[in-house]
Order: sequence, then structure tokens, then C-alpha cells
Amino acid sequence: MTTRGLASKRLLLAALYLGIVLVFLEGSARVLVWNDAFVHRIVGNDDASWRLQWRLRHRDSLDSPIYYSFDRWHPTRGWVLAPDLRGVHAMPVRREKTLSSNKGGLRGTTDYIYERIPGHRRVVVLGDSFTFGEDVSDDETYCARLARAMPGVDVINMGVHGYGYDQMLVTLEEDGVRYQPEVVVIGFLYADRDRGMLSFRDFAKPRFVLRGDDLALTHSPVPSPEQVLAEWHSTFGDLIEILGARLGKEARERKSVALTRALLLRMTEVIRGIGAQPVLVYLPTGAELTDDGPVPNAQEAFLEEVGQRGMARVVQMRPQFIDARRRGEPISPEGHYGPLEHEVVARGLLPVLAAPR
Amino acid sequence: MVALLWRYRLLWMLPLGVLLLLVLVLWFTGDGGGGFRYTVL
Repeated sequence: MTTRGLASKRLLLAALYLGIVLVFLEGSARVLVWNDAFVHRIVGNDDASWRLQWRLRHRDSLDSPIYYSFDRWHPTRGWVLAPDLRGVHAMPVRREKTLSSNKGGLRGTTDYIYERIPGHRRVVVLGDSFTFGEDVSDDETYCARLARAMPGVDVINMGVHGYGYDQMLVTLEEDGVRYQPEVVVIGFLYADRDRGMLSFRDFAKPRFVLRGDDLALTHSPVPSPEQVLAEWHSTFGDLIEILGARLGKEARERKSVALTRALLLRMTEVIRGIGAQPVLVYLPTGAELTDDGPVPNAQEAFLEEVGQRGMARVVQMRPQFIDARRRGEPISPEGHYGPLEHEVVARGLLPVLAAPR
Repeated sequence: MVALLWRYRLLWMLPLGVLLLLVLVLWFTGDGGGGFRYTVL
């Protein structure tokens, strides 16, 4: 055999070997992720982890194509609440709770036209599952309580479970501003800051990236569940991506804080742009609910700083919870807010929203 | 057969080692969390 022939043969063998290795690694990864305990142990809070879990949940059926049965795919927001639900028992933990949505896919049974009725005041509330009211009934959310406490004021709950500030911004720009609100409340959770770094969470979602001081929208339009499922995806690649995200955790944390600040500031700009008042509400969750330390702490101070820069009113809710616990009210740090926690938030927001601007 | 496997041990040990290392690192650095999710209490 000539030298050239020998070299070609070696190249071919090397390519064949590489191919076999890749097939072996991909096949092994696919076998490994069939084990639920393994997946549960290794997943983190990155695109690959969320996408892998979604794909595994949907490998047999697309019955609940997003996350919960009451979700619907949305091309620019990822997912929204399905419209026209009435008294559905579909909450993940407290099944006895009821869920309804209006014609526009907003929590509750009240339909709103975009034009504001003269003399009527209007408040739009953006947020995640805590604002949406996961695991409470329609009339128990802080928005519903505020609406009852302020007759003549529409309190429009635009909260959606799993939303990051990026999806709230898209919701505000596409839909929120059309309701012509006088006040826009943003339910802020410090823990939600990392959602801005994801293009896949409960499902595929839009993501903004910071280019200098500017926000650029990426991963929009969002693919449909059928498209995501039809796309070939390397499971071995997912494992590598999960590892990579874990190694770069600190850098991601820094980026997520900067991104959250930029997203909140953009929201305050949009809100002020329509002549409305932005209100940023710090909603304490988990261990924060039983923290009696001085207000503001570092996380709360972050929101104060954003509020100052964005000319937005900032409402800290932790003092309300501290007072409630001092009065002996059984505030629970577990899971989502229950009816009592929603009541405390409504109490804290009422004086802010009831006062004429 | 055994002699052949031993002769080319690097070829099969390398991918096996990569896989084992990846699994072990993922397992021992994993916190079993999926970020901020309250559905499993």
C-alpha cells in the first residue's frame, strides 16, 4: 500500500472510531436519563436541565404540552394561561382550589375591554406564580382581594406561573399597555432573577440578552411543543451543557442580576411611557417570610436601587409579614402563598393603590 | 480476544472513562434541584 493509501485508511479508521465513540456516548446518555433518580439528582437551573426534563415528560404524549394542564403555548411568551376556564381543579398541590380564566386568559372570571371606562381606575399587575395565585382559588389571590377592597378599580391580574421578568416585559408591551392602566404593579421575587438567563424553563421561552446597555430579544418566536419534540437533540450534549452551566454558576449569577436590573428598568420606562405609575413590590418567599432582620436587606436594597433609577415606587412586603407574625397569624414559609399570605400582601398594597395619584 | 482488547485498551477505555467521569461529576455536584420550583414540597 502506498503512503497516501495508508494515510487515507488511517483517517477512515479514525473517523469510524470517532463515530462509534459518539454513538456510544449518546446511547449511554439516553439510557442513563431513563433513570428518574439520576435525572432528579443531576438537573440544575439551566436550559439543558429544563429542556431534558420537558422532553422526558413528553416522550410518550403531548397531553399537557407545556407544564400544567391549564397552560397554552404562546409564540412570543412561551406559555400563557388557557382562556375561558371555569372552576377547574388543577392546582399542583392544593387540588381543592379552583382556577378560572377570562376570555383573554387572565386569572378570574371578569372580562376587561382594552378601553378604560371613564371614571374607572385601572391597575395592571404583572408577576409569576405568586401573583397568578398558584395553589389558591380565584377569589383568594391578592389581586382579587384588592379588587374587592377597591370598588370602581379594575385590578387586572396578568401573573403567569413560571414567568421571568423577560416574559413579564413582553406581556406588558404586547398586552398590558393596551388596558390603559394608571398604575402597573410588578410582583418581584429575588429568586426569579435567574429566569432571565433561560431560554427554556417550564417550556421554551423568549430571552433577552444585554448588549452593552441595550436589551436584545432572542429565542422569539418560541417554537411550538410539536416543533421542540420533532427537533433532534443530543442527550449527551445536554449532560455536557448541564456540567458547563454548573461550572459557570458564579458568572451566571452576576449576569442574571445585571439582566434583571435592565429588564425592570425597561418595564418602568414602558410604564411611564404610557403615563402610568410603576410600582415594584418585593414579595418575600420561603425563609424570607420568617426573617425578622432589618429592612431593606441586600436583596430588598437591590429593588430600592432599581426603583430609584426607574422612578418607580417600591413597596417592601416583609414588614407586613413581620407584623402579621407578631399578631400571631400563622404565616407559612412553605411553597406558594396560601390565602393568608395573599391577604397580607393585599393589606400592604391597599394603602398604596387606594390613594389617588 | 483478551489480548486484542488489552492491546487496544486506550481505544475503549477512553470513551468509558469520559462517560464515567461525566456521570460522577454530575452526580456528586448535583443538588437535585431544578431551580425555583414549588410543586414538589
